Amino acid sequence: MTEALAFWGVAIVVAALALPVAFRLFRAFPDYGAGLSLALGLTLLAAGYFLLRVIDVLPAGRGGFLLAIALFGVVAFVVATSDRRFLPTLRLALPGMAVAAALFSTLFFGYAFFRAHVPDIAHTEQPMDFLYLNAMLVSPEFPPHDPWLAGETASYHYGGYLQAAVLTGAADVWPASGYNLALGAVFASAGAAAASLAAALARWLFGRRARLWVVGAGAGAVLLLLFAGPLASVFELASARGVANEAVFNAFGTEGLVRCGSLPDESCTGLLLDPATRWYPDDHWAWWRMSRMSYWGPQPGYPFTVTEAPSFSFLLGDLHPHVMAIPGVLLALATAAALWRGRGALSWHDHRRRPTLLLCVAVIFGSLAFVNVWDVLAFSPVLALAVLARNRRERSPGETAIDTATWLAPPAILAVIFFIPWWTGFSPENGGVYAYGGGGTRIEHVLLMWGAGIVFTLPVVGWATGRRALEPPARYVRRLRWRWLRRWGSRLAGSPFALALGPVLVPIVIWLFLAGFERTAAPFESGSGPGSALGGRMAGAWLALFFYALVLWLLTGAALVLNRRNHPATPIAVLGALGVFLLYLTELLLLRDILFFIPRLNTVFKLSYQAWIVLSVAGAVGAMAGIRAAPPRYRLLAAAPVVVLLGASLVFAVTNTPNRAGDFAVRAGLDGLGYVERLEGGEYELVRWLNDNAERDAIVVEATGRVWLRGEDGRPTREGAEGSYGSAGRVGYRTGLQTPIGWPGHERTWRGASPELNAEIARRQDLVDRVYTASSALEAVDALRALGATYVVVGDLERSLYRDGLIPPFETFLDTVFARGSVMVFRVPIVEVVPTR
Amino acid sequence: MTATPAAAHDRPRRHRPYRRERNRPTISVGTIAWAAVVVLFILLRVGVIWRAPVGGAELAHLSGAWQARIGVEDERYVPTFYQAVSALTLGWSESEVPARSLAFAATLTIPLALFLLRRHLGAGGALLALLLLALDPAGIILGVTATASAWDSAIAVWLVVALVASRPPPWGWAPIAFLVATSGPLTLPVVLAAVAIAAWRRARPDSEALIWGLLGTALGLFLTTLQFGVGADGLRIAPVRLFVTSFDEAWSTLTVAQLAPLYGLPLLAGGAVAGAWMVLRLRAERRVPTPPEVLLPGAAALAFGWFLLALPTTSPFALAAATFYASFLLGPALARAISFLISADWRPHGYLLAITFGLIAIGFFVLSDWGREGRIGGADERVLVAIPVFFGLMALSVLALALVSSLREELPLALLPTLVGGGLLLLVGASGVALSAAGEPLPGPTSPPAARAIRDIAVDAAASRGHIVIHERYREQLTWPFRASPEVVLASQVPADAGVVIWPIEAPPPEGFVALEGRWVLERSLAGPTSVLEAIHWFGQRNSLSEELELVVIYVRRP
Repeated sequence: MTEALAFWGVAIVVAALALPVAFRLFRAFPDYGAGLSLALGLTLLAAGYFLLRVIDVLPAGRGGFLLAIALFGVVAFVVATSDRRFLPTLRLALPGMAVAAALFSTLFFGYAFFRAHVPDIAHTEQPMDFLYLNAMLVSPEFPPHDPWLAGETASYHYGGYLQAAVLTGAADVWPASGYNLALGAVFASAGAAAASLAAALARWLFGRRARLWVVGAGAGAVLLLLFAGPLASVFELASARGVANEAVFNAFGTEGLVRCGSLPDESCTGLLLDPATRWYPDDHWAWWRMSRMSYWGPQPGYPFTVTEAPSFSFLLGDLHPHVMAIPGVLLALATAAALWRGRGALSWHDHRRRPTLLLCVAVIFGSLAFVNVWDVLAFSPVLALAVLARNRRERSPGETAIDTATWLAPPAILAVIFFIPWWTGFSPENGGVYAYGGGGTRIEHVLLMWGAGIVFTLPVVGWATGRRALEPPARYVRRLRWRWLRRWGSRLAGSPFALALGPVLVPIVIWLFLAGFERTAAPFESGSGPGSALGGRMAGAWLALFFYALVLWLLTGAALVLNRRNHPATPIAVLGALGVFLLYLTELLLLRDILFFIPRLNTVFKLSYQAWIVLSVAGAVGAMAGIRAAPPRYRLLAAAPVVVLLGASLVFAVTNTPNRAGDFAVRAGLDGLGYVERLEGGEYELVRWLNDNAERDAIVVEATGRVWLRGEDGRPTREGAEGSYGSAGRVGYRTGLQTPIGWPGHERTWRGASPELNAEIARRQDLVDRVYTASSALEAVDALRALGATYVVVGDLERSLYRDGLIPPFETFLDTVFARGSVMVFRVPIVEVVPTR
Repeated sequence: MTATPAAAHDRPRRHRPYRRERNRPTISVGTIAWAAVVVLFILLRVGVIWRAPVGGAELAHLSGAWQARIGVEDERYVPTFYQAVSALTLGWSESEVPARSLAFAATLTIPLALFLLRRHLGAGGALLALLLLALDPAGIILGVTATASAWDSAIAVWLVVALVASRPPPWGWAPIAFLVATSGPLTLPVVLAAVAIAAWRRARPDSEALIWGLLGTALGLFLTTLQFGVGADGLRIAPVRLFVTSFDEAWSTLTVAQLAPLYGLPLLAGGAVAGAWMVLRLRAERRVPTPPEVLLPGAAALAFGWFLLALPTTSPFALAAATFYASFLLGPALARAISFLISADWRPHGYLLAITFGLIAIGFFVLSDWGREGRIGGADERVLVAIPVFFGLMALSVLALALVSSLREELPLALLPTLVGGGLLLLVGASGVALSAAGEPLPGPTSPPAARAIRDIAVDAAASRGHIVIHERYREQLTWPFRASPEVVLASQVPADAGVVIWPIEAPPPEGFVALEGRWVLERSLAGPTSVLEAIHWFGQRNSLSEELELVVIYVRRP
């Protein structure tokens, strides 16, 4: 509880310090940006901390975090005092601040309560997440070191971990508790940010008097973003309760969720499970099925891929970049919306008048990549569109283009400069864009996964329809000077809805182009080229593609029409169109990365996640707009489908939270390593001891994960292959100290699987294995020197991997510096002449 | 108006005594008070130069200075300007006394600075602030011992003078900025408060002064980055570095949360109350606050923030900063309170005060008796304490209620017991630190004279036997006591050519060596009181705390 309070206190301080900047950026928001202030504060603070650490102004440790906050406070004070409207704005913002603080606190402590029942950092990629959090906390130099590849700097988008580390370090919280509390802070910050943005969009649309509608939009955004999940959960629940009509399940493509009982017959296509004994699906990790469509039915749209909703992420509890990015994404979208909403054209002159805005935009959008590199690709164009749309209201097309470019260039350049130390160390494998040639996604699955968000967004199209909407923009065409251009221009630019075909057609053209060059990828791909790619797609998937194209066209057209009228519904249409566009892209294209052996895994995972975020905000406001547009006496009728759809979306969180929290039976506390303390006390003490005693730049040797036996000739013999996701690497991830090699597969993912890297990984693995299988002290010490290592850990894990008594008697030639139960730490002996005069 | 002859006749007679008064050398009460406080200020510090053991932050920073003197790069060499100078003094003498003398010399300028601030703090306020600074136990240790922050309080107070009480010439900002840039973290609250206030008031510094200031800062940063000639290892900003490392280093045996009630409670509580009262008074008076009325509370608020954040840490700087800035708030507030007390009519409520003091005294005597015996007394004794505490509290409540309801101007009377109690605590703390430093947990842990004796014995023994080998666990502790020794080997296992081995007492004895008889203490620390009774006992009996010794064994190779 004390740790949660300290963490919460630091978060509130950071949010409070960000208010002067938030007031400047979001003065048009009903809460004046209070709901976005933690996301803003953490973004600015982490970027500042990163820069100051890189140039060695701030040292490592808690003091560095506190000093960074103090410096941020000074900057905030200067910003506040240089703003004549700060104090009046503060008075006006008090109600909004109170609501934002209450919402944040409720979500934070609520989530902390939930995590206190499932705190373990033990599965999936949580060790990797904990690794980066610890690296940010203990790394003596910045950019931070990679604890799983000693001597190398981290090559990952670690901005989110740095933000979590700022809060953990400043609050002086035990890192394993900080992990869980950081998740809570992300959850709460995302909720507050979504509510703030949705409330702003609703206020602009409905006006000042429609307070209830504004509150409803904010609450809806929180529900859709944090608690809503796939509608397939309804089928899961029905099946768990024993209500599974196969025909209905087949019709919705969820036949895979039907429970056939634990003794199935051959016709069973579903789960080998009996109905649940509780009111919710109570089998182990039932909620996992909602993140993989392959569980839902045969011929899934996304075999081997992940379709995750934020509610699933928070239930799972992985502190991944795409999760930590949510508040930053909403902040970036809010910044773009606020810029769009402002008056007067934006050009480079504006930066001279408002340098604070320039710096903030640069850091906010630069941080998108720093936290989750996928986001900078998806959301930077939104900023460009917002500035372009605003300038177009004031300027001619030519002036608009020039002003927009000159306004965008400085923050873009600064965004790169700020994060150059990170960019230069970031080298994931990137193989470019490919055309997707697989079977595609069934329309049923599309609707079950994203249907609610898309449908909620559609009412915005209503504002754009009507006679004027379809009028060609003749004034544009008339201005064109050349006859041929006028002729073609008039044909091309028939109406905004004709222009809206652009985002629909361009990806298809690219797809055809790539397929034409046989640059296609698909699971179980049987051929290449456009014919094969076209033929491979299922009928239901063509329907899904058409559905996306239709909705995208409608929303894009609506956005163009509304922007021409400077209509406040424009951002909602843009967000809706963006969400659908991202989903549309997943059906046509994919980015090649290290996981190319499962084509489009990451493309689907990351783009659909981004789509969920934007659709939850746009959908919340759109749904409220749809209800409000109905005549008052029909509003209840209009609200009914919204309530039904929303309720169905919430089934996921409502039914799976007790499953995940073990029915809230055991409250284990927030320590993510508490289970280690309970099960392997020595291992827990090891983490404590290393944290307290090992030098921050020390290299610690632990097992590689490879199994070694004594062969018939008495020599060590390797058995089996290496693997990630195991217990190997536990010292690295639990302490953040450098180890020679951790999870090799992940290193290849982060750095690109070059032959040099593979050779280096193999060299390190061989050296570490030699330490543990050395036949003499000299051989072991030589291997330790080659690794530059100081400490060697021997625990049950090492004994289970280096079997048959292979581990040499370290205590006879190394210093025993730690021993608890079966866990021991040895150190290379020190002999050093110390000058004293 | 025309003067009558009689009036004209009277004039010289009226002036005569005045003339006589002016010619006679007189010493005002104020002057005597200033002189007395300055003497107290000096007396409470001067003995510390020789008496205080080297310990805590001083041990770390003197070790760092020594390493700098012999040209070895060391994280303990921050360096502040003072630490660089103390490294220089170690070239003249291996003793800590010259370095401490320089720290003391700088601290001696504080009374002068306070004297210059008397127009802004009020004559009584400045005097009382000086008295509080004189009695501040943390300030005494910090102002005399050779920590890297030894000059900080002097620099900070002169920075306040430069900002509010004098107008230094533009070039004067160069040395001021240089000193601040090369100082420790205690100056940071003033600097940050001044920057924030300048931003708030949209005050633009004189461009010439700004340039000189920037030059001084640049020179300071240049020199600290070059570690005053020892080497370069990235940008170093001494105050920032010390502030940050103070959260992670063990520069005190006790945490700030443990030190605060022992040494800082009266100043911290009084400062907080004075700060709040100042804010309320300014709101009530509805006037624009003067520069010191903004600067000093601002700096004090920042120092308090630092103190609160540093509560779990083991560095005394945060406590010293909080008590230092609290004195500037509490001094003027006390001056007002005392003038209220003097003008108040004591007669109606005097008996209540007497009862309060009497009962508190009885309660305290019983409690101290329990503390001495280390146990809570029997039922009869408990009643003996409960009754005075109950009636003492009742008397205080009655007094406060009576004063609040009828005679608000006499409210300070209710504070009198608190003031007296706080003053006593302060006096006990100051005298303890100044007079009986060996029984104080501040500074700690210390390097006792025995550590130097170990070195002397080891050097003598090693002359004919081989190398001196010290266990690597004592890497940090050995620098200071083993300064200016022959070659010392740090090892975790005994090398073959070792002649003398200094080893942990619990480690198995090395083969071929014999232990020298004696109780060899390398480091000494005092545990803080673990209960209220222990604390009460310690306030009366300063040598009552249990000590923890780092004992080693000296082995010499068998002949």
